[in-house]
Amino acid sequence: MGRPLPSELVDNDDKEVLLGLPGAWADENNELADHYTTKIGGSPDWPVPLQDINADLLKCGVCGSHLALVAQVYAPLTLYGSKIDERALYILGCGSPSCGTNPASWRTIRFQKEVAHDETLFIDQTDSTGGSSASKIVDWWDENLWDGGYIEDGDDEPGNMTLQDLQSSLLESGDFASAAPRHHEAHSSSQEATTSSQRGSVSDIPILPCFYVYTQSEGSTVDGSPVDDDDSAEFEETELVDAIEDPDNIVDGVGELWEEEEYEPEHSRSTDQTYLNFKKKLDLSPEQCFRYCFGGPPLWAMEAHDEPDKCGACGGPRVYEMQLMPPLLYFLQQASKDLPPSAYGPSEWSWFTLLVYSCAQSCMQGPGDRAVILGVQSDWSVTVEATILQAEASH
Amino acid sequence: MADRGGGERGGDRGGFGRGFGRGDRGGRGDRGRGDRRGGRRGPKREEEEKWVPVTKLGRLVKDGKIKSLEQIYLFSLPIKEHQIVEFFLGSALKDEVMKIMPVQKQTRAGQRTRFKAFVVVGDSNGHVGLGVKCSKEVATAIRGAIIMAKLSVIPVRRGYWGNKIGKPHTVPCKVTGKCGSVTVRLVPAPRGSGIVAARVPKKVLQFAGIEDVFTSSRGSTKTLGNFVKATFECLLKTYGFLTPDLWRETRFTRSPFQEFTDFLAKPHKISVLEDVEKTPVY
Repeated sequence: MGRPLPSELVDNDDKEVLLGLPGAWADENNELADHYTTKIGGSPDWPVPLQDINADLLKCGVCGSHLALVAQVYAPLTLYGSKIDERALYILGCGSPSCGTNPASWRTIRFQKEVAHDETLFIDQTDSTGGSSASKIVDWWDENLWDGGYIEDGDDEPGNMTLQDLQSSLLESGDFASAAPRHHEAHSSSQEATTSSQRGSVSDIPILPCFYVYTQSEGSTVDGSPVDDDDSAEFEETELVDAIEDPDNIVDGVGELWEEEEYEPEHSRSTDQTYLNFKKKLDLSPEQCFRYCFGGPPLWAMEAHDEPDKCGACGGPRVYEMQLMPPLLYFLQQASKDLPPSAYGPSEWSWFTLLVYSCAQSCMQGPGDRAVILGVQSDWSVTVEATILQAEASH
Repeated sequence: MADRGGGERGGDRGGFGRGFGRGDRGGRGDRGRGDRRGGRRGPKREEEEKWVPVTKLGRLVKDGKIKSLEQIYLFSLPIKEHQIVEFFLGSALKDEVMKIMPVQKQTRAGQRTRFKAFVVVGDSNGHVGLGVKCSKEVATAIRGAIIMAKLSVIPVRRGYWGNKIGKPHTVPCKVTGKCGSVTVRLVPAPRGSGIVAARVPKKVLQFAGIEDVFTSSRGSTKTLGNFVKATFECLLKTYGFLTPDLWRETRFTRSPFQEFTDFLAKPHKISVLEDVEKTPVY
C-alpha cells in the first residue's frame, strides 16, 4: 500500500507558495540550458537524452504526435530531512487541435538522481551538453553570472559531480535569491559557442516560444495582510460606517432603515465561489505563470475535479506539487501570434489550470531500473507523474 | 420635478474615494491600521495595473477582436473577469457605495462582526451592475463589492412612453422584479417625470441611464438589500421582454469563439459580422 505521508506534508498550513513569474525571453527558442534552469517553452534540457531512454514518453497519448515542452522546472526537495537536489520536472503538452484540452495528451516527467556524498569528485556521467562545456566554463567564470530560476534555497553541498555541474552548483550556492533571469548566461553561450548552443533539433518535435522564469514567494506580493478583529480596528471601522451613513439623516422610521442583513457569500450569475477565489489569488499577482508548493493545497478553478491516482513506481500516494496558470498561456499565445500558423500551437489551448501531482516520497526507480544510455547505466530515475487539467467550458 | 439624475448622481455621497476620505480623517491616529489603509489608497502598484487575461474571452477582448460589450451579451457568454467590463466601459463606469453595514455571527468566542458592502456601478447609458460583498474589513468589502458589481454588469433596454422622438428615456414596457418578499414594478413615464422611486432604487435607476419611470413596490421594502436586488432584476428583464419590434427573425451569426478560432488558425479567412451596435429598431 505504500508508506504513509511524511509528517512534513500532513498539515497544509504555513506552506509557502512560490510563484513563477516571467523573466526574460530567450534569444533563440531552442537555446541551450541545463536541467537547473526553470523556463517555459523552448527545447527540453534533459540531464540525459530522453529520446534514447523511452521515446514513447515523448509522444502524445491521444494522437501520437510529438509533445512539446511547456514547462521545465528545477524542483529540489527536502524530504525526511535529506535534500534531493538533482530533481527536475518537465511538463509536456500536445499542440494538435484535437488534443489541446484532453488530459491524456499532457505528461509530466520527473528526473531525479541521488547524489552519494562519498563518491569522488569526478564521476563518469554522460552529459548531453558535453560538447559546449569548455566554452561555457570560460564564460561563467569570467562574468560571474548568477544562475537564477530555481525553486528552493541554495544548495549548500556541491556534491560530487563533473566540473561543469560543480560550477553551476557553486554559483547557485553563492546566491539563492532568485534575481536576474538566466538569459545573460544563455546569451553569452550563444555568442561563444554558436554551433553547439543550437541543438540539432529533430524536425518534427515542436518547440514553443521560450522564456525564463524567476520565483517569488506569494506572501511577498500580498500588500497589507488582513488583520484580525481587535477593538481598535472595529472602532475605526464603525466610524467609517457612520461616515458613509446617509447624510440626509433619514432615520427613525421615515422608511429607509436598512433592516437586519445577514452574511451572504459572494454570488455571481456567471461564475461560482471556487472560481472567484481562484481569480482573487490571480489578481494578487497577475503575471504568475505557475504556483509551486510541494504538499501544499491546490488552487482549483472549478469545483469538480479529478483525483490523481497512485504513484506508478512505488504505489504510494501522490501529493500536489505545482500547477500552471493561465498567464502562461497568454504569454505563449502572444509570442506565437507572430509566427506563421502551423499545426502545433498553443492557440487552441484554453485551460484554466494544469495541476501536477507527484509521488509523496519522491521515489526513485531501483538501481537496476534506472535510465540506460547507450548501454551505460546512469543514475537518473525517470518517472511519469500525474497531470490534472481543468478546462474552460467551451461554447 | 425634472429630476434628471445625471447631475445629482455623484452629488450627495460620492464614490469610493470620497467615502474613504472621511474614514481616513476619523481614523488617523496612532493606530497602524490607519496608516496602512492610507498608504493603500495611493496609486496602485504597477503590477496590479497590468491585466493578464485568464479566460479565452478575456484574451480575445485584450487582443481587440471583440468590438463591444454588446457582442458578448448577444451570445450570453459569461463574463468571468471584471477587467473585461473595465476595458469596454472604461472611465464612463462610475461606482458608488450605497451602504456598508455590519453583520454579526455568533461564535463560541462571542460575536464576530463582518462588514457587508453594497456597491452599484454604471455608466448612466444602459449598463448597470450591483455588487454585494461581506468581509472582515471595510476596505476589503468595498473593493470586493466593486469587482462583483463589475462582473454583474447588464445591458438595460430603454424605450419610449409615447412618441418616438429624441432618445429613449424610459423603460420599454411595464416590468416587474422580485427578490425575497419585495416586488418592484417599473412603469414607463412621459418625458420630464423623472425617476419616481424611493431613494435607494432611484440610485440604481440613475446609474442605468433611465431618465423617467414610475415605480410601485410591494413587500417588506425595509429590507433594502432585497429592494435593491429586486430593482436590478427588473432592469435585467427589460431585454428579456419580447416586444413587436423584435418580431423579425434573427439572423444568427457566429459566436466570437467560433469566429476567432478560425481567425487564429487560418488568417486569410474573412468572416462577416452582423452589426450588433444598433439598438432595436422601433
